[in-house]
Amino acid sequence: MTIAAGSAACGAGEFARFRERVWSDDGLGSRLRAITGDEAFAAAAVAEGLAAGFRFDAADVRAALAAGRSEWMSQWLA
Amino acid sequence: MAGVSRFDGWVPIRVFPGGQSLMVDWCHLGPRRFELPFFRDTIDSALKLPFNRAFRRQTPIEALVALARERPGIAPTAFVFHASRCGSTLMTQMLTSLETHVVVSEPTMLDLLLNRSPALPDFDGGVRVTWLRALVSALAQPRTGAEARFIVKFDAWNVVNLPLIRRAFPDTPWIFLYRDPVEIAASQWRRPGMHLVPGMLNPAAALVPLEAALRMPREEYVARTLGRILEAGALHCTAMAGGRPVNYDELPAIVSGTLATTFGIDTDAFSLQEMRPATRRDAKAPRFPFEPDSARKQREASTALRAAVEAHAMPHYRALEALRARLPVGRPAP
Repeated sequence: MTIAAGSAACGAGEFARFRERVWSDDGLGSRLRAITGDEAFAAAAVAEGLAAGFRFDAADVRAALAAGRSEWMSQWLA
Repeated sequence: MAGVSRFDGWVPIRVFPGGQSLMVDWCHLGPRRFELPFFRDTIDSALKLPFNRAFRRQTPIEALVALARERPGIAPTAFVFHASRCGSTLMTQMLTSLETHVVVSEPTMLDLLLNRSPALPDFDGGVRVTWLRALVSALAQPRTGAEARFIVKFDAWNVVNLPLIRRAFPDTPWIFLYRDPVEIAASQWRRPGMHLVPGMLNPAAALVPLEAALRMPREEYVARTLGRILEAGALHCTAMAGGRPVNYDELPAIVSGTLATTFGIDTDAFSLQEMRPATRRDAKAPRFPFEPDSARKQREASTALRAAVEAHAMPHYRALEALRARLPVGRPAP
């Protein structure tokens, strides 16, 4: 797969595919759940993603972290 | 559903619109129990973990239905309905002290299934019943291996939804916990809950229509809202099997006494000892000790608030007390 360097949309797509991998891989999920800090988590997710063949960067992970919080809060803001 | 084991340790935390159906948001809790006073508190805490913000799963609600079919959770032991500010958190915190008991308190997603939100399509009652059962089943999945009982405490305004809840769970016993409405009103006056702020609730769940609420004095709004809750409690305790009125004054002894069977509590010394600390703490702020507050709340209620409560809530309170007086004498606490 060819990925355009610096493409945010592409990075987000790759991160979405990596998420599916994490959900089906208990070991990978356990390693990521053990991390408590956001920046360490973003770095670890990028490294784990790269090792599994997914290219995204820390900004994609940070965007997912922010979305995860705002989606949860949205049920009281509707 | 392919691979229900892939949901081990995951719990549904939210429902939201997705096409013509609903989607479910899942969070990984692993063996973590719902130990905090409210479902929301536990999830807020779990979301501090970056994994639970970045790697939550989202599935169509039909996945919940398939999960419930293939791996039903613990059948609900009992439901708790309440009039707010009347000891329901103390009750659920006592039950949570038992590792055999899973207690979910006021999960917002159940309210969204019970009361149609303008943000969601209008689903008929049969579909709601199916989804309600599936959602409860998913929340009741064992995650520690010690669980044997499952209890849901609904939001205060959900007592008016009892007919739909009973349609989904006709055999589940339930209690309605209440208190002198002057004391509830005084507490809600000082620090109103969502249902005591006009317009905060989804309009389908509002107990007093918004237009009318905005035209009446706040005292009347508080009293009418409490009146609707107490009225529904009394009505359903009369009309539906399985319901029992419980007064705040009966806490905490009634939990391990008369209600022990309802809540599936083994009244051995160990269980009683496990529950005791919860009776000594402020249920909503467990770092602080419990302090009786009825006298203070009675003093705080203004003349106007008392008059409104007398007109709109007190008749239903008296009806509940009359129902309770006719109950057989219960088992004393061991």
